[in-house]
Amino acid sequence: MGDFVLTHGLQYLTYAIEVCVGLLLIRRGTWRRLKGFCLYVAVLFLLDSVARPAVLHYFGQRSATYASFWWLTDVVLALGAFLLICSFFRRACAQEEKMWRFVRLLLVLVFILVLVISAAFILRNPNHNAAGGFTAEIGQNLFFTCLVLNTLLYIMIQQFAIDDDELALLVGGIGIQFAGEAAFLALCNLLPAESKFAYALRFLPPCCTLGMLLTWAYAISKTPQEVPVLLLPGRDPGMLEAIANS
Amino acid sequence: MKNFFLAFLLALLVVLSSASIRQSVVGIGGSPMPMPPKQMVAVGIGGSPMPMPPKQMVAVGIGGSPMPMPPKQ
Repeated sequence: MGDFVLTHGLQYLTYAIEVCVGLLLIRRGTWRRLKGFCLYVAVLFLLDSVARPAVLHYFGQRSATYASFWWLTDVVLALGAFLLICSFFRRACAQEEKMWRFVRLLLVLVFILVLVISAAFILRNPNHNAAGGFTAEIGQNLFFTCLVLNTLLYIMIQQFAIDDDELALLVGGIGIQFAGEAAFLALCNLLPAESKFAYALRFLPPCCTLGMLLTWAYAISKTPQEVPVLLLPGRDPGMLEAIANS
Repeated sequence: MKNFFLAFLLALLVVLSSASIRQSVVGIGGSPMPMPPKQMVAVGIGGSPMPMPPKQMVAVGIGGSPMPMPPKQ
């Protein structure tokens, strides 16, 4: 009973936090500045909080339809995360156009190599269901590629002392999701399957998503709110600028 | 050309690192991987329950939805 409550509690708490992050982005006007990030939060909300539960309740967790839908949406979310990390790289290289050209080339090559490696897996396993297997394979490969790229981005932010607390927090949030789940898989293999700790570990993946969303919420709420300035007739614009700078 | 070669090498390093991490965390050590604890089959982003991963593939995913059964092998 307690197990059921905890599992479903975490599941619905994640949905609720996804909604809260979306509302926070709208309320604080951050969506105007972080368009790529907002798009990813919107896709995450639509797929994870709306589409997946709808398919789950209609077809059931053991149905083939839910499985196909889940793996397909997983690829979309992993691809979205990859594009989000690319947009963060762009932001980190905002002052360095030459470096951005190199990083852009690197990201394109990484994506092509992930496709090639995933396709090679299908060719290596001729009995594999090509479409379904490729979907799951590319989703997982993209997931771990995002983990490595996100770590590189975080190191880059620290190394070049990029003064952008919001970016560092957003990147840190993604790190909790990807590195947390990688640690979860490693711990699953290190611990005996019947141990109590291994049993408790299964609550770690939803906690990683919660950690990412809460870090993002903190990053958004920490940045100063954008206030639209109304320029009234007869009001000196220079005075408004002086007030804003003070 | 030099930049392209360097970018390709770095990209290869990134992809091979991610593949190594994936293989390492899915099965540390040489012994056959045990079944994960009951109902713990994979991980993912979001709150929805997760399906079973493909055979012999411990998976991670994005979203909280329950993980379904993997595509048939």
